[in-house]
Amino acid sequence: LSGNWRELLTTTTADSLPLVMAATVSVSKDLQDSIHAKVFQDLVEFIRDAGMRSNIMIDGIKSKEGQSDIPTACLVTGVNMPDHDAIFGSLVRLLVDGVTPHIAKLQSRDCNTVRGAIFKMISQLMGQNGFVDPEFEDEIITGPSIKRAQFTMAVLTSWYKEIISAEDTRESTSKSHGSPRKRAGCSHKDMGSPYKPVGSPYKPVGSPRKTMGSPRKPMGSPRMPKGSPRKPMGFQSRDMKSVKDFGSPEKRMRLNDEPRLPRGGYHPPLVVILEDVENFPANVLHDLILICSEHRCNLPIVFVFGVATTSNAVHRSLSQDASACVAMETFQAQPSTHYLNHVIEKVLMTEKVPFHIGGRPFKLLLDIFLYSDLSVKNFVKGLKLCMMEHFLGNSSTFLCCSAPERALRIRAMTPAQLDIIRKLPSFRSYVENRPPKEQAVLLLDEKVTKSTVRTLMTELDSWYLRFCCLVKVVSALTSSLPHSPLGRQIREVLATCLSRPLVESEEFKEAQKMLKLMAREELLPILANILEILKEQSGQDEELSELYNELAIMLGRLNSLDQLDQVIKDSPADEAQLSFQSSDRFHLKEKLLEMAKKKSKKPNAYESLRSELLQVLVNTFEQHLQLLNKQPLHEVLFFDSSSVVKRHLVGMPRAALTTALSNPHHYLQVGTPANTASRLKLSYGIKENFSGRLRSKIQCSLGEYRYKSETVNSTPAELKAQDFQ
Amino acid sequence: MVSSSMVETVSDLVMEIPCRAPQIKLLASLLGEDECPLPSSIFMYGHSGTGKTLVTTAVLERLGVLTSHVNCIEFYNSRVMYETILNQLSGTVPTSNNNYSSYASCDNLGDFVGHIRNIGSKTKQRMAIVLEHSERLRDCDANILPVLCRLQELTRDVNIVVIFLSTLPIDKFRAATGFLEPIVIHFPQYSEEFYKNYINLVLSVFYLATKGFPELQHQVQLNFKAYCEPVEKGDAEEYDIRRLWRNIEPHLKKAMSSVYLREVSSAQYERMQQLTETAPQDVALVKAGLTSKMELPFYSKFLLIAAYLASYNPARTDKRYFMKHHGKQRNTKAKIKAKERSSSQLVGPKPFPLDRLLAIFYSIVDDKVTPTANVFSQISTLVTLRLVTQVGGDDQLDAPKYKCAVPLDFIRSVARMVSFDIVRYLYDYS
Repeated sequence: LSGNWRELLTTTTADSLPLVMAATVSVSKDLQDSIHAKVFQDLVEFIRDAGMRSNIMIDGIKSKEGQSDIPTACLVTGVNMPDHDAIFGSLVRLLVDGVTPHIAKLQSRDCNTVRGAIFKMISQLMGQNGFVDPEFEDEIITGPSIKRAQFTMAVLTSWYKEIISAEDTRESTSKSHGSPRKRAGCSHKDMGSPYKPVGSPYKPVGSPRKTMGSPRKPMGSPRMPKGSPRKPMGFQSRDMKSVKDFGSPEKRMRLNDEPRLPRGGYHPPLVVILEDVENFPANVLHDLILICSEHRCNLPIVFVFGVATTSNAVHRSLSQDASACVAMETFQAQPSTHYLNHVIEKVLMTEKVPFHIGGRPFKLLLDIFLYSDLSVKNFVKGLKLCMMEHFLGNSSTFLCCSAPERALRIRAMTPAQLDIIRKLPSFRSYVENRPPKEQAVLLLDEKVTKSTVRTLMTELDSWYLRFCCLVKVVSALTSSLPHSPLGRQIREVLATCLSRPLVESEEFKEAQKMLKLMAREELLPILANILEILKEQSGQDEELSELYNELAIMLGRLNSLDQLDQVIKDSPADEAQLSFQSSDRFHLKEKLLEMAKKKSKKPNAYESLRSELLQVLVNTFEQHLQLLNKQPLHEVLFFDSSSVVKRHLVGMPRAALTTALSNPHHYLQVGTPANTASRLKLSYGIKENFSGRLRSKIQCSLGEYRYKSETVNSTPAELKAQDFQ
Repeated sequence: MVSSSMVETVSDLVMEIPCRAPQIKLLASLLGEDECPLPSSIFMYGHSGTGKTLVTTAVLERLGVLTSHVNCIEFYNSRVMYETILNQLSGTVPTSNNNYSSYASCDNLGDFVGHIRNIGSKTKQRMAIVLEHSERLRDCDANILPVLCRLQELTRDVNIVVIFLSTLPIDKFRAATGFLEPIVIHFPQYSEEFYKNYINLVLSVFYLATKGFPELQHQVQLNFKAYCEPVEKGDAEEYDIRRLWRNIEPHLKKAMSSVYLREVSSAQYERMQQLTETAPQDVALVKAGLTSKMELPFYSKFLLIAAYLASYNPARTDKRYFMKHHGKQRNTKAKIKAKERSSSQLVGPKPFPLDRLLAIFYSIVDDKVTPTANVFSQISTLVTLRLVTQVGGDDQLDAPKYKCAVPLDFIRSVARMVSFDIVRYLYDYS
């Protein structure tokens, strides 16, 4: 929090707001990692394998296959652009931990020319601004200090050779010392980093700025003296020889047997991440690939392309000879809707975060997500804004915190704070519904009010828990219906339930109609699913466990219907009635209709059971899935005003334009009255004097001005928003 | 005079590199032995993957010429080129010991020639500069090409040859002034006789698609296992070409679909093949998932559709498609003829102004959309995704102009997702 804002917050609100926000952020971050865990794991594996393969190649055996192919992982991330930074951030973290410290992350905005791209790539790979764990911040691999003009591939090549030869010498010496490096290398699949524990093997040995005694070096693996860091001669001659006899089968066999530990240790690959491939100028991408493939025999470069659309896009923007140089493998990241569902479930539908969101702002945030950007980052940002508005705009929010904390706060409530609570509309209506005797006590006696508030808050908590559980039940019940009137996702059901009482809604009625016609084979798995959901919650809530028991019994009855069915089927042996005497078509029709009516009159056992089941569920829904503003004290936990956040989240240029013209003061808040008046005059002057296109241009720029001023720092809430990001 | 050792070297090389005997002989005789004076420049051209680099490096190595082998794509400015060549010729390796500095700092041709002369007088060796992708040199400063052609002349007593490798013929290089015609060696395409049975088969399938040698090599390696399978199992004789062909045919067909793209690396390809054997439907799903799945925000889909409509429909028909009361349409003969004349699907997308895009967008979205900044920002997102491209320069008086860059199939699937009948709105189809 910046200084200004700390003063403005009351002390009690001040500590719960950051807490709530931190909880939200940490949850969404954890989710991000876990959701992409699978694809990341595959990616890391791929990069490691690619590194292995190129090691073999560099070590001398020039296999015919893929001499110039650069192994390329094409990570299809989806079109939610704002989230990509975070995705690649966690990928880099993973790679630094487990595979290689040499990573370059290129963004198209830095790479308008080949020169710029090469410079960025090489400087990052050589560790000029490398990605290092914060733990080892003081040990950042700064690399040699080189002038900008010297960043060429030749320099990179010799730098890399030095590193691996330094490592090789270290390897051979450390083997006699019990070889910590080798052990790390063997188990690098399950344990994180084979590099960290052995210190910093990547520092160029002869670098003049390096001190010799590195504190991170755990055991005395003596480094070669400055003078002779490399052993290039043996290396090169081996290379030469193997070109001639690359067919040598024994060598290959040996390497195949032991792919994880090729001779000379495992040299980390150089990973080049291109975050937004589509956005790179085609010629830059083309040249970059050709250059890297040219040096492929010396450098184990691995590309990671971040693709927003489809992997075809890469080939579309490349020419044939460049795309022949990349051997691509596609990895599909999880779609962001999937991620959003988890965020909603873990942040909004839980008691762990005391802040809850009402129907209208939730709908707004969902709409922005689905209609505009599919970006979870923006969703979380919007959520944070809601929290800020909630905590700053509503003085009763000092009670919005975790349950044990709340008990303390209720006990310590001052009369002024009590007054705030008493003035809440929902509390007032609660009081009005009480018998008159209690009313006076509630309004006057401090102790009674406090205890009432305590119980009400606990009730509110448990109500919301029940509410969320039932929302999941509704979703399980209706998501598989044809046309899914309530939506296929939990979030859609949640939005409906938050904005109006579910049972009265049109959508639910439609769903109910279809449920009444559902076959037993369909109903059984759904019911089992619902029981599963209820089971998770039933321990904590009595009403839910009641419902659970009831439904479990019904499931039992449904399962035992098989025997019953046969009994019932036997009885209506009305075939005899079908002896049609009259050949009149009209009579026949009449008769058939009659029969149909008769049939429908007596439902079979399954049908009656089904309607009974539905009735139970509908009754529960009716009782519990009510609007939140019926709950007393809902103002404390729920934020339910979309208009305030909408102003900040949805920019509307045209509306802003009208405001700017009709009331410039609204945007030009600064300045003396005289100043403002002159500006006013100016804008009217513009309106009067210019015509047509020019005028509209000026108006546009005025609108832009407003847009900027609003997004940068006009309102306090937004200032805060920036603080928290 | 050709010594016996020279003959031996050449015949060795001819054995090692098949099908390139005339080129090897020519090059070797041009370069000559030990102290022979070198030609001032040689130009070799041929399609990519015809063995230019292989032949050049092999011959130079055997003859013991000090070689600097560089790739012109790397040289985004001429300074990098000069310094790399000088480093390689002088044997300077940038290391941490010399703080990654090069042989000399050099950023113009005069210095370059001077440094070459210095090195030459020191080493007294024959030198060669091999420039790969030399067609890129044409984009550099105008004087580079002529100077490189006459490098021997300019450095006087240095015995140096510049070898240009290129995929373009010499005609494309001739400059106006000072161009000295180099000796030209052409590398023709490999002929098909070179390949035997299997190679022959694979070649006949892929030859139409690509002629690059590395590409073909990749495919040959990829499918060889499948080819050998029946022989290993004992189902077929080694020489039973017909049966082997029947076995390999489906594999090749499948590979054909991705030959251009190299979309599958060999590992992934093999995995996919295995999957095919276990569950064919799954693979179809996986494949579909890999290639065509793209999730767009709801309004972006409509914006894209609107962009497509604006690109492929003539502006005068907008009234008919997007207004409620557009009056009656009369099919006159002239109109039908005009329609026949211009099939916009063949001509390609036409540019349209932003206003028109937005107008169509607002009219095709069912519910009411408030014109928010989010809608506008989505247009720029579409541009960065290359689904829509901006046309025209920076100087745009009225409004920016765009073009839609997606094919009909794609837009159809997008429209199906939002249940919008796009064909009904397309001028060509209605």
